[in-house]
Amino acid sequence: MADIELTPEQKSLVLMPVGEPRTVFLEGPAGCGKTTVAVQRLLYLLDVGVRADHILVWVPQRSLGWPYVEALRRPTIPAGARVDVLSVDGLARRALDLFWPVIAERAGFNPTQEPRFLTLETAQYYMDQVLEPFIREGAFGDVTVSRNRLLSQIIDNLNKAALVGFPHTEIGARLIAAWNGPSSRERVYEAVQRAANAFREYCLQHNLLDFSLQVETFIRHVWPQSECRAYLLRRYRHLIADNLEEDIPVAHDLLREWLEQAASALLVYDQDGGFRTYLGADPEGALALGERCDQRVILDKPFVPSPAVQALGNGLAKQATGKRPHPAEPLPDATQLEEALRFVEGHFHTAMLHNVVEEVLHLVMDEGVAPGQIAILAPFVDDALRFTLMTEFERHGVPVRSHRPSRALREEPAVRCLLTLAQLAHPQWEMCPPRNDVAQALVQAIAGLDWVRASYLTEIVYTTKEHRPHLYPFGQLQPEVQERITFSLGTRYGDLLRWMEAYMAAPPLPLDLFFSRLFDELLAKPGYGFHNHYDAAAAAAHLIESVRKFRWALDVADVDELGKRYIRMVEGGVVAAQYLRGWRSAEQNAVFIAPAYTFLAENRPVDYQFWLNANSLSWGRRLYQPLTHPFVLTRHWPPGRRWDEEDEFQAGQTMLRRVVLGLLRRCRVRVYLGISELNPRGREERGPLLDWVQRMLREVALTPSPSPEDRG
Amino acid sequence: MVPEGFVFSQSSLQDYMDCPRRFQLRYLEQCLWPAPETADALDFERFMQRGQAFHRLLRQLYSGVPREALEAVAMADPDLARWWLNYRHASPQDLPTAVQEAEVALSVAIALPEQGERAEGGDGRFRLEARYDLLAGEPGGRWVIVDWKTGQHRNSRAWLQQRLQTRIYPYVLVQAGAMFNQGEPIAPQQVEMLYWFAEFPAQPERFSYSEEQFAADAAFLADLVYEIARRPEEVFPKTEQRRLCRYCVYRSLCWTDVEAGLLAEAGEVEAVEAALEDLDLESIAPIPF
Ligand code: SF4
Repeated sequence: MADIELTPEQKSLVLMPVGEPRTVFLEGPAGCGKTTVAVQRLLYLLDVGVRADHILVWVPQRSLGWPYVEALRRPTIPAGARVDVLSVDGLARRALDLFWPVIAERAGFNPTQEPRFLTLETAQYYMDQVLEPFIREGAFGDVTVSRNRLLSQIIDNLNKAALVGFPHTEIGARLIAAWNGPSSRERVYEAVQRAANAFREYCLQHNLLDFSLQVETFIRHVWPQSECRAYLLRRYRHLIADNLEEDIPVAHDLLREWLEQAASALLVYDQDGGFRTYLGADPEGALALGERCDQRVILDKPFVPSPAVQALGNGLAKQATGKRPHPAEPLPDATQLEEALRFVEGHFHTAMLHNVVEEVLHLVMDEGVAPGQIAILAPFVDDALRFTLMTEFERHGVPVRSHRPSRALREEPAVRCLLTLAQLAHPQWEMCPPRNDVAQALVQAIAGLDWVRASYLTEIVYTTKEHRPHLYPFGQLQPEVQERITFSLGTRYGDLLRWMEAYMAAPPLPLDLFFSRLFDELLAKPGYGFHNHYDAAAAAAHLIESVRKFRWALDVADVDELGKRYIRMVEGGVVAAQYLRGWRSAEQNAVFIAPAYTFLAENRPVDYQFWLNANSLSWGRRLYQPLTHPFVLTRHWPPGRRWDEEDEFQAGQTMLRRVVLGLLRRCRVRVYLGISELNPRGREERGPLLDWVQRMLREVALTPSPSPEDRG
Repeated sequence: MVPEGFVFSQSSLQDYMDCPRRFQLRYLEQCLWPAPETADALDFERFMQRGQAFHRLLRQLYSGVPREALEAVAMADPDLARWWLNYRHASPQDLPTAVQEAEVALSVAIALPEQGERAEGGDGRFRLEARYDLLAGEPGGRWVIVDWKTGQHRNSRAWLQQRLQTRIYPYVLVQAGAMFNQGEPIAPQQVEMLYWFAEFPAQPERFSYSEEQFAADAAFLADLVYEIARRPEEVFPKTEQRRLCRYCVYRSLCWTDVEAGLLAEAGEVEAVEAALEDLDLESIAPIPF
């Protein structure tokens, strides 16, 4: 079973007889080996013959389930069934799929038709339709955010209601009750409520289930149904729930009930966690589950951070509350700070970045640190920051990876090409792409066609007539023009045009099938831009998948209408906006550049961390979300209380403390703080993180250094 | 190179048997190639959706959803209604009732010949997984693996017999089924494979299993996996049966002159048959949160 070294304490937890004690609550700071225990416990259960399909590994999000998924792939796992590793929404989705005919009518749907599960994209599409009249009437008054952010915040409100477990009809009232500003905002919150209601109504009428409705239907209609609950309890008798502090209130409710019946349960809780609070995570609710367990065990000896980094964490966290998170642990002394904390400075932001790169190069090239042991983190990582750093590291041949690829799907040249060709092949849509787009599409579609020739060709062959795009055949061009383009490229252009003409002569296809056929019958052939081009093909595959899901969710019979709507949604940034993980798996031994939250969600410790813009106000400040509220729409906000500046300040301090501790628990050797006197916009900034650091440094300077023996 | 921990399945091994290059592109390189499976792609999509819907109905039925609730869903679609009525009037006979598990996946380690533990399920580098539509059995008694088939034509016995599914499903059950059999291994002679055709309900096809077949399968599968794991070529060879390429999405990657075939002309092309076997809940995209 266990092929890794465990401490005696870990071993005794792993090898507990099954069901004795029946339920165990395992807590401690990150990096103390709790997940290792839980993974080994899972393997132990399998070893002693517990049926794999009777075990449910319960995690708040997929990425946190990876240690289990990887362990379960090992060939040494005993023969048998599959262990399910699920989050509550995954469980909801399976249960809905199974019990739909039983609960659909009661939940307000049509039971004879299958549910249509919405992706984030398709939910945004429907919300966009619902919001149209609200926007026209100016219902969101003084709130100026982009349309996309408007609709994502209203979707977020519905999600919060479902995850916290309050009726969605209370969203507006809760926001109004906590609002502390001009009364005009109350009308905006009323509009938010009306929009949420309209969206929900529409979903119910059309058997559409967005994320919020999936979770709510599961909690309100599947789980209370005795046969459904009995099935789930019978099926999953052994629970292993990890990272409870990042899970949502309704997940905790379910677990509380499940615990009563489970044959065995191991619940794992990270103290000082709760990074996903802004997404609905409820660490307090998670901790309360400990009281329901037969035994509570604390693992608090960190394996990851060095003593110096641990002490640094203690010293910084103390600045937030005046208390050490773990009183038994020491505060840092000057030597430890020297070891665990460095500053990388610059007057301008760019100079600071330059110095960060230099320091990373020094670590990798002079000290032999593996690039994968370095993470560069910031509260937010925008395109400019990512581009600057990635280019620099690539220039020096240091492997680097980022939290997301540089381009959204709709910005991929292959995708832009297909979208432009779709408009050209469907003149009845009356959508005329700009010349530039047509030239770009030709560059991408025709192998060997450069930008200069493509622009020239477009200039001559592309025209618009009565709002319809039109392309002239190559054969009709003057001989000198043909010569300039070259005969072979002209032939390819001619074949593309002929393919489109043949397509236009038949009834149009749904957009995804149009793309698929164009790809298969022409663009993937020799002489065309997708030939043997795996990345372009993969981008096309993702686009086609997005259109197909759009088609299934919309159920619009008119294929022209469907195509037009999709293209408009792309232009509006609503669909094809996702950033796809590389289709080739990313190099893991690479410097990782990411927002701090993303790094925490990946949960992979490193030796060295760089915290960029450490003097920025963004450390400890939440996103501007005027139409929702991550702290008010929770179980812990007292009804009727107003949210004021002090609340905002305290919330910021709490979040910052969690992030700082979370990062340091995932850092083995040292943290570098990147500080520039002027921020990227050329202004001076001074945020709470730097204040904490300076206060701590002052305290340490006033405290006599203990001898090494004192430190133990 | 097959990565350590790779999970083989009947579809991936069948792909390899049909065309090693297809296996390499699909499973090792995970190459996304967005061509239509057939020339009449919408028909193929409908075929897939109906098949999925019928599989879902039976999964629900065998998971305890009341028959009346399912009846209303089935009757809303003419094809589903026909298959449902066929099932009601001629469902597979004499299935054991003590254990009935719908959509269950079992897996077992595959030991390579060089490791000397061919069939023991010992310490190998890869796993082999089988996903059953329905497993019906009696501890100590018979065990029937049921596979629902929703194609337009009834596959011949000879064709079914040479399919890897007919070998892998019973093999994996013998290796990994003890959990259903009160902890006792299931003996090969207890196992039967049953194909039930929604369009031809009165003509199911049954295959019994035996010690000899089990031993032959163990050796065959270990050799096959060994062959795949040891393939030296950078590019695996393409199939010599070009007809298969007409129903393979990689046709425009491999050839310049192969066009997609029609669904109705696919006959017993494995890729079309396998498409339904491949679908399970894992293929449902995660919901962003
Ligand atoms: S197109 Fe033919 S040769 Fe190529 S992978 Fe598919 S089946 Fe194999």
